[in-house]
This record gives sequence, structure tokens and C-alpha cells, in this order.
Amino acid sequence: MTNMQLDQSDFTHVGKNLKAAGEIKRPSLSYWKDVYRRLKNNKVVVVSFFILIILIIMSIIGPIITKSLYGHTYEKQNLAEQNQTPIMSNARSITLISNDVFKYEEYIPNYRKSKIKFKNVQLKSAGKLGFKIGNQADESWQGDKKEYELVIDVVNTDTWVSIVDKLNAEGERLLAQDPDFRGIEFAKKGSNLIIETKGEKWFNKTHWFGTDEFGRDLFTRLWEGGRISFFIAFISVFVTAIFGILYGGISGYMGGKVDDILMRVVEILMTVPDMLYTILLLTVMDPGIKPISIVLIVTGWMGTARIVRGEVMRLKHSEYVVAAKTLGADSKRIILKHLIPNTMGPIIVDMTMMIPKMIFAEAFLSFIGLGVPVPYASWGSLANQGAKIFRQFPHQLLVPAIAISLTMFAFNLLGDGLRDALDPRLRK
Amino acid sequence: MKLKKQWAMLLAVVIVLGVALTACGKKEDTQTVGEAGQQTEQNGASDYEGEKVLDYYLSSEPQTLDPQQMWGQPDIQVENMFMEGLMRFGKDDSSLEPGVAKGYTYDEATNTYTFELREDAKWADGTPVTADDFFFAWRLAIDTSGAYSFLIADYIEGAADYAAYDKVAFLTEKDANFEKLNEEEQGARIEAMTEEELNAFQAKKDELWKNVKAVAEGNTISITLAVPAPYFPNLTAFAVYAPVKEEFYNEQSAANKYGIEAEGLLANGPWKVAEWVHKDYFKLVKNENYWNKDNIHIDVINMKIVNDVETRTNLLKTGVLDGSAIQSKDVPDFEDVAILDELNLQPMINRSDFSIFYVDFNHFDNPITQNANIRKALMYAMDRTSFVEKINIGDRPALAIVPEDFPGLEKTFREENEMELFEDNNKEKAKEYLAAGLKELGMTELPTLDLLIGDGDIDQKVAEKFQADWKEIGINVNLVPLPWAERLTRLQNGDFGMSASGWGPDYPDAMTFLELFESVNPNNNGRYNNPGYDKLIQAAKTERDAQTRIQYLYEAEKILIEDAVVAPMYFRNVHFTFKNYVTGVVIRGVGATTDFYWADIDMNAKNIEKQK
Amino acid sequence: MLKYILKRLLMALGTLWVIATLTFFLMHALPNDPFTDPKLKPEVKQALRVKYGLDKPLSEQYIIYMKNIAKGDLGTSIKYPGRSVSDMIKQSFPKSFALGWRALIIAVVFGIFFGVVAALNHQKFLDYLSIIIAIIGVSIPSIILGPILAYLFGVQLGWFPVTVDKTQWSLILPSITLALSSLATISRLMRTTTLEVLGQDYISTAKSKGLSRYQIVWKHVLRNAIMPVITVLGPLFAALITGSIVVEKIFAVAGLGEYFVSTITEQDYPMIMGITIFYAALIILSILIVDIIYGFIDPRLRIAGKGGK
Repeated sequence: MTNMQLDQSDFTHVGKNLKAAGEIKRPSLSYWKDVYRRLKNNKVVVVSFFILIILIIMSIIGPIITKSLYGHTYEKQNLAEQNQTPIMSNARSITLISNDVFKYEEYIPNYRKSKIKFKNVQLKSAGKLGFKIGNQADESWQGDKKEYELVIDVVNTDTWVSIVDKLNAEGERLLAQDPDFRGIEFAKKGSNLIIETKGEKWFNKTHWFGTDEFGRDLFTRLWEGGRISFFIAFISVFVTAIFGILYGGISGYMGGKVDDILMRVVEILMTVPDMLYTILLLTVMDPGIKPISIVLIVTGWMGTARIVRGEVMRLKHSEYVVAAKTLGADSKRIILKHLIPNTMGPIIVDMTMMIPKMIFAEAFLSFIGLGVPVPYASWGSLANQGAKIFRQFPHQLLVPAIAISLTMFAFNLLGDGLRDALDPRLRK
Repeated sequence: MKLKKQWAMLLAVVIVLGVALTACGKKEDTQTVGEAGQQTEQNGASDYEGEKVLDYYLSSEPQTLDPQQMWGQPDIQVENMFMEGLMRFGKDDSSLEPGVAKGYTYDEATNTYTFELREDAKWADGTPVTADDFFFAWRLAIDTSGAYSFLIADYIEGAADYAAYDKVAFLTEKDANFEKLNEEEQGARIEAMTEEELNAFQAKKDELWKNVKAVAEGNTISITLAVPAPYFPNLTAFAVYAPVKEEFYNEQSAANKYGIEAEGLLANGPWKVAEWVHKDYFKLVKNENYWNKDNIHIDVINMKIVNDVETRTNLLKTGVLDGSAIQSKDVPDFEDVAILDELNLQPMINRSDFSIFYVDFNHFDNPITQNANIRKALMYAMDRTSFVEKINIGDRPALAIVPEDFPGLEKTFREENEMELFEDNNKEKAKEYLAAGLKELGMTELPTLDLLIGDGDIDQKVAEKFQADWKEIGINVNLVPLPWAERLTRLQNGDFGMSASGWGPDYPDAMTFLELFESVNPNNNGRYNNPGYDKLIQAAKTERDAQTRIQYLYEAEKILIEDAVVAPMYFRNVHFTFKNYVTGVVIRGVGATTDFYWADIDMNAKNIEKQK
Repeated sequence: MLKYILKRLLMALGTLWVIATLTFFLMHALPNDPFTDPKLKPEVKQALRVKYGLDKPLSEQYIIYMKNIAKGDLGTSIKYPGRSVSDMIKQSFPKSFALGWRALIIAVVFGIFFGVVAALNHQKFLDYLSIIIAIIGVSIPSIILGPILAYLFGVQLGWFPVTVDKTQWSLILPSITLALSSLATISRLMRTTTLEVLGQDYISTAKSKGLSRYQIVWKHVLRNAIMPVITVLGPLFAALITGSIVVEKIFAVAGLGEYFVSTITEQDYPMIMGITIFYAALIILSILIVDIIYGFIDPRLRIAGKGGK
């Protein structure tokens, strides 16, 4: 490297090439092409876009898949398979039914109560110590309706060691009597008493995401709900945006008297609480997707209109619009080339924030009993139902909540990417 | 203050001991039960001198605490604490305790009940409760058309005539042309009544009131009934029969506080309302003027108003409440002794609240639900047992109309008239009925039926379950959730096929359920009209012989099932649990559901737990 | 300015009148009636209708109602017989308000903070972190967030009371629940506007002048980016202080939100009208206040405003 020799003969003079200098090397980019190029280069946007596509496609084909494989539909019930989880275990639940023997500070069961823990146990007195193993209400887990009682008598000379031995011996005896018992193990670790029943674990092949309270397949219901939620959200956001842009745009661009009147109307409509419209509309129409969409549109468009108007007002007086005007640009050109592209940012942010809002406005309607009528599902109503039993069956909340959050993330990141791409000032 | 300190010290000692014990876990494993038992034994709690405070909840803000106007459950709950009628609700569903009256006698020949008032019954201001306070209250109930005033008007002789005589009746009598006026003109005419006319009207009213057969004689009140009602003494424990002190009523009504603010409530019951912060909480304190105050153990009852059931459970778990009702989905949790022990709770009380939930059919404007076979098909297809085992855990399948445990003549009504009047979940039978029904209707397939349901959570679950059952036999049912007001409009217009309804008893007699389906009953939503049935109910209403009367009721219930007038769904059960230190709480099905009249609380134990 | 405020106040009165009229006729357009309790006998229902004047022709009812409003009398509730609507509002509004202003402060402070942090770290880790927080904020509605917070921090950890009592401590969970979605909205908006401002020429000027990053953010970025946030504060404030039925139900708050929903479904006309008018007045007032503040902060608007407003 150090002794590289450069000779003048290595270089030649190419002379002035005016033609080449005047040539445009890179293809000229229209505004929208540039937007597309920048979107494509933004990895986050691409990922979000694909997540959304996958969610939408699954909403379309998801119910079809499970229907053809297992015959599940969103409304088909099977109470014998209620509340199943994606990972199944047939370990029986443990319930304390009588306890004269020990005191404890805290009782910590796992969700299925197949493993329970008593913290800081202390012996109390002699007497009965009894557990119920299995529960007929858990049929969908344990595969049968069997219940067993495991009871021992504790006498004054017993110690923890002998009590645990007695319990384990009783467990062995029950297992010997009936192999369906599947076994149980008592152990005292430190000052804690830990009890665990045995069983197999397997992936739930027929219900991939588990089932709900009625034994309906959650996978099917999730995507069926996706159809409804996406439909409601898209329709209402679309109509809202169109109406809001038109209304707000006209109001902002025209200004003066027109603006005064239009904005007064919005102000009046906005000050009447949403609940009033909602309940009024829902009482005059039969419950379903249509009235819900209408309610969401009716209560949503004013916000968009205000935002658009605000933006238009602001831009109308900005230097470059004034400049364009002085250069002789007509209204059409100003609106299309300057106002719309420059108001796009806030509108897109507004729209991306509105899709989750629409999905949850629907959930709120479910909360007050006016949502999508049962047995139909929407993501909002699924999450709402799941939230009511999240302590017992967290998966029923997690499944729709993850779907919703993914949608939100995707929409928001996509919206941000779009905003950045659309903003000419952020052009690099 | 001193007491608190002592407790804190004791607690500190216990904690230190606990830590010391757990610290040497190794030793513990070889320690015998006998030794441990000796160590943990503690001295009995010392006597508690301070106030006994109970923390409980109310499920919603009472609409009114005017005893003559109220009808909601929370209202009645509070009323039972601060008011007392001639009798009080007893420890079980049909028994009674003496209230303002020491007791009563019944004269069969004249159908008259005579109540003997006690001398020491006083209002919270120290003035005695008199017979006039009762008469004023009853007249007030009728004059102001209280929701339950029919419990007075329909029973006491002469009261119905008094109730029926209103300004319209007065003007019709006076002016032959009045009847010809349209409603609006009549209204205008009533408003334009002169003072003279008003006085005449009032005089006539006073006269009619004199004919009402409720008379005071010395310290007794004699009430002659217009109809036979073996359960009449129970009615006197209801809010609408509670006394009102006229002077206080006039004073507080003028100030617009009567029944709606704490100052506007004058107690004559075991407690009085000290504070009522709307929608937030109640504070009731022991009424020192109550005649039986020596047997009332609880000094202060704090009731927080909590609408949400989940929130109530949270409050119970965090030790803010001393007891609570448990919702169906938490029942398995609270059956677990380990959870009860951890929270220091008593085993759950599980009992019927005497409500039945059923599907009403349209009997007047829908050819499909007017067909008995179709109704039977729907009724037999429903799988109630798995519904109460898996969905609404703890409720009971309804296979009759009168709920389980509801009192009959000697035993419970259900024991006397068969536990189950039809078979649950018989899809084969349902299909047969469906086929027969379709044939009669001349159809090959049933069109989709609308089922109106409430907008609550449980309403929807019930409907979802049975919708699937119906679908199994080939009947498609569309669920229409509606707010109650809207639903009622539809019911009145006949704009429905089926509607989910429920009913709880107004008084402790099976008639309260069976008279629902009389053709003239305003709550006969489906407008079932069967002259034979009406005759049976009327016969029961006028029959004096208890044995014959109840036979009519048995028969009436059987007709309802044979005709599939409604499709019963389930009987509701309620579940309650209280802290170990609370004793003697009574939970009942009719009237005030939770009663602390006999309750006591071990404040030492409560304070120890609070400090944890 | 004073003249402007007076004019706006006058207009607000007009708006209120329109709203009252609108609501009145909307409510009465429904085919229902408030006396639907199945335990009421028909003659009792008729008597009640007479008592509340519902038997009169609609136009007459309207005139009576408007006269009463002018006198400041909102009538008495039907569902809670005898109780004056204005008293009920007076009693429950402070409880909603106590939650509302706390929620607003949480939402504004954290919303602005997250938004600015995100914008300053555009497309870097902190940006995505704040997006995640914002998205969690909007994607978990209070219906779900409330019970989870109450269970986790109230029951399991025992840090906070599970319902609102007399302590300040107990207001924390419901305020957070109430604030979260507004917080997310504000942070998103703040991020957008901050990015916009960062691209302006005067920021480049400031940079080239050699101002420190801190000075730029404080003196130039924040002051300009906050403007659009202030415009949404009016409606947001009104929405937060008028109470949320969800939060009130979960945390047993004796506020106005639950009254409103239950009275609409039960058609308690005087209550619906009373609360609607009260809400409307609140919203109008808060928008007015925000507009005035805005006028003070942003001098551009005062000039431009002459044409627009």
C-alpha cells in the first residue's frame, strides 16, 4: 500500500462534456413515486404492511380452514370442550376441602389448580386433612367427570414428615385403585407445602387457540371476529375520512361565513354527548353491524372535519401557498398540489388512530350491551368477554388482545411511515 | 386509642413469633402436631368495648327511600334497616318476627287480623309510633299511587273503592258531559277544578277513607280483608305498610327532602340513616330509641354503593367488605376451602332467590308461537342442566314455574306439586312436537324466530346457550338484545315472537307467580288468554279454605306447563359469604335479602385482620 | 379581546339553546316511555305521566321546559323520584371532576414527554418505545385495562385501594385508567407536530446560530409544536371531566357518567336533558377557554383569526 506509484499516464483527460452534464442521470420522480420509494425502503413500514395483510388474509380464510378441517364454526357449541387452552394438560385440579391440621400465610394455586402451594405452613392441631382431586366441571380438561377424595387423619404424634408420607401413601392407594387418577405428589420444601397432580401435556390439535366458555373454537371466532372488526373499522373510517375531509376542507378553504356556519354545526353536534346518539340510533335500528357502523360514523366525523379544517386554515396562510398564488396557480392546483399533500400527515395520523378507536368503540358498545349481537363475535366483544374471565382463563383475553395490538402496531407504524414519506420536508 | 396500641403490640409479638418459627423450618419438620398445637394456642380474646362496625355494600343507589314509593331491591334493603312495620321479616322465608306490633290474632268469621301495638315502639325522635302513623302511611301510599300500593288497595276492605275514586270519577259523577270529552279536554277540565270542587272531592275522599276497614281501638289495629289471604301478616312487613309520621312527612316534603336525603328519613327501626352520600355510601347507626335495641349488636353499618360485581369481589378480597354476594363465575373459587381460609371467610351460603327466568311467547300476534306444538318443541329442546352446570354455575334448571324452596302450604310448593313438571332436554320429543306443529301450520320449515333479550351479560349467555339447542332441532332463532324500555315497547306492540323474561315474588305465596298469566295481568307479556285458567286463578283468589285454594294453584301451574305457555329456563340461586367474625346474618328470598337484625361481629378478630 | 369573549359567550348561549331543543325532540321522538317497570300498574303509570307532565302535547312540554331552564330549573328526575336534577349534577360532578383533572394532567405531561422524546429520536429505539407505549395506550381500552389494574395493583399487590374512597391514594388507579387513551393520543399528536417543527427553517437557523440542543428544544420546538395539542385540549378536558361510565363502574366512583348512561336507557327525560345541557355547557366553555389561551400564546392566530373565526 505504502509504495503505490501513481503515474500521470494513468489518467486521461476526458474534456468538457456539456451534454452529459445537462443530462438527468436519475429518472425523474413524481411526488407519489417518491413516496412509494421511501415507503419501500422503510423496513418498519414493510413489516407492518405484511402483518396487516396477514391479519386480513387470515380473517378471510381462517374460518374456512377450521371449518374444512374440523367443522368448527363461530357459533357451534360443545360444552364438553369448554374453556380449553392451546396447551392442554389432563392433570386434575386440587381443592382443599377440610383442614384442621395446618395454618399458612398464603395460598398460591396455578390457573388450573393442578399445582398448589401453601406458603409458610405451620401445624395447628390434629384432625382431618382432605382434598378433592379432579372436578366434574373440568370435564373438558380431564376427559371425564371423575372426582376423588383424598382424606387423611392426622394425630398428635404426627410430624410434617409423617403427614406428607401419609398423604403420598393415600395418593398411591388411589392410583392403584384407579389408574385414571393419574397420581399426585405432596412435598414440603422449606416452609412451603407444594402439591402437584400428574398428567400429560399436549398441544390442542383440534382447537389451536383453545375454546371459550361455550366450547366454541377460539381460532375460528378470532378470525370471524376479525372480519367483522375490520369491516366495521374500514367502512366507518373510510366514510368518516371522506366526509370529514370534504366538510373540513370546504370549511377551511372557503373561510368566512361558510366556515362560521359549518363549524358552528360541528360544534353543536360535538357538544351533544355521543352516548345520546348512540343509544338513540341503536334503539331505532335492529342490532347488527350496520347500525354500529352508522353510530361510529355519526360520532366520529366531526373530529376529522375539525382537524382538516385546522390544517387547511394554517396552510392557506403559509408562505408557499401564498407564493403559489402570486405565481398564478389556480384553486385546483393549490388544493391538489399544496393543500392535500400537506394536510395528509395529520389526516393519516388521525385515520390510523381512528381504526383502533373504531374497533374499541365497538367494544364499548358491547360493554353496555349494544355491540355486535351474540353469537357473532368481533375483536372488541371477544376481548370484552375475555376480560371478564382473565383471572381464570387468561388465554381468552390474550388471543383477541394480541390480534388487536398487532393491528394497532401495524396501523400506527404504517401511518407513521406514510406520514414521513408524504412529508416533502423530510425528503432526504 | 389505648386499645389500638395494645393490639398493635400484640400483633408485633405475633409477627415476631411467626418469623422466629418460620426461620427454623428444619426443626419444624420433626415437630409433632401436638407440640405445635400447644405453641400456637393463644389466650381468648379480651372483651371489646368500642363500637361494632360492619362494612357492607349496596348494589346500587336507591331510587327512593320513601317506603310507600319504593320497589327496587336496594331500596327495600335499606328500608328494612331503618324502618319497621307491624311485623318484621323472620329468620326464614315464611316466618315473622314481632315489629311495632307484639303479635296478631286472626278471626276467621270476619276475616279480620288484629295487631296489638307495643307501647315502647318509638320514632328516632323519641315520639311514640301510633296507629294513626300507619293509617296516614297507607292512605298516602294509595293517594300517591306508590308502586306497591296495590298490596294495600287489593287487600284491605274498602281500600279498593277509595283507590278507584279519583278526580275523573268525581267529575263524571258531577257532570254528565265529562265522559264525552276527549282525554286532553278531560285533563284541562281537571286542572281547571275550582276550589269548591276540590273541597267537595276531598270531602268525598275522606268519607270513602272512613269505609276502609282498618280501625284503631286502644292499642290495637284491626284490619278486615276484602279477600282471603293467609299470607297477609307477611305483607305488613313490606315497606309499603311501614308507618309515616305525618308531621315529619309534611315538614320534609315541603323542604323537598323526604325520602331522598338522610335528613328526610325518620327511623323507627333498629338503625337510622346518619349519612347518605348519593351513589357513594350509606352510614347507618344504631337507633337508641328502638324498642329492641338491647338485642341489636351492630352499632354502625357502612354500606358502600358498588354496582360492579367484579369490584365487589375485589373489595371482599382486599378485606374492605365483611361479606358479599358471589357471582356465578367465582363460585368455584369460593368453594375452595383454601381460598376461604386465606380470606378468613365462612363457607358460602347458597340459596334460591325465588326468581324464575323464562321465555315468553307471543300468544296474540304471531301464528308460529301461538301454536302449542311449536312452543312445546322449543320448551323440550332446551338443555337447562348443562347450562346451570357449565355456564351459570350454581343456578337450578327450571322445570316448573314456582321456584324451588318457595313456600307451599306445609312443605315447599315444589315438594307438594312435583319437583319437575316436564323433562329437561328431550330433543327427540322436541322434534316430534316440531313436526306436528309444522304440519298444523302447513309449513316444511320454520322461519327464523326473534328472541328479544336484555342487554346484560347473563341475558346474552342464556340466550346463546338455548339458541344452540334450538338450532340442533332445526329451529333458527335470532337474538335481539335491547334495553328494557325498548323491549317493553316491542312487547306491547306484539312485535316479537319470543322474549326472555324473569319474575321475582312480590309476596310469599305462589299466587305471585301464577297470577302473571291471568289474561288481565299487565305483566302477562305474551298476553296468554285462557278463560279456564283465569277462572282457576279467580277461584283461588276468593277461596277461604287453604287446602282447596292451594289445589287450585297446583292445577294452574300444571296448565301453564301442559300448554307450554312459557318455556322456563332457570331458577336463580344466590351465593353469599361473610367473614368468620360476622355471625347471624340472614339471607332470604322475599323482601330484604340481607338482614343484620340478628347479626353480631367479633371486633377483636376484625381488628386483627384489618391490621394485617 | 373582551368583546371577542363576550361575543363567544353569547354564541355559546345560542348553541346551548339549539342543543337543548335538539335533545328534547330527539328524546321524545322515541316510541318509548320512562315508566316501564313491570311492577307498576297501568293506572299508576298514567298517574305518573300526569305528574311529570308527559301527558301534555309535545309543544306545550317544550315551552314549559324551556321556561324552567331559563329559570335555572332542570326539573326533577323520574328514575329517582323527587330528586332535583341540578342537585344530582351538583353532587356527582365534583367526583368526576376530581378524576378528570388528574387524568388530564397525567395525559398532558406524559403525552408531551413521550411525543417529544419520540420525535427527537426519530426512527430510533426511543421512538419505537414511545410508539409501543402509545399503542398499548390506545389498544387497551379502559374496559380491559381497569379490571386488570384493579386486580393487579389492588388485589394481588395491595398497593392501592380497589375503589375510590376518601384518600388521594385511591384516585391513582382510576386516573391512570382514564388518562391512558388520551395520553396516547397526545403523544402521537405531539410526535407528529414536533417532527414537523424540527423540519422548519427556523430550527436550522437556530442550530446554525450555535444554540444548544436543550435550548432549541425548549425555546423553539416545544413552543411551536405544542400548539395543535392545545387545540385538542378543550374537547379532551371536557371528555375527561364529564366522567367515564367504565371507570366509574369499575372503581365505584359516584360520578356523573353512570347516571347519564343509565338514565338514557331508562328514558329519564329530565335527567337526560339536564346532563346533556350541562355537558354541552362544559364542552363549550372548555373550548372557549382553550381558544382564548391559544390566542394569547399564538400571535399568528390573532391576525389570521380575524378572517376565520
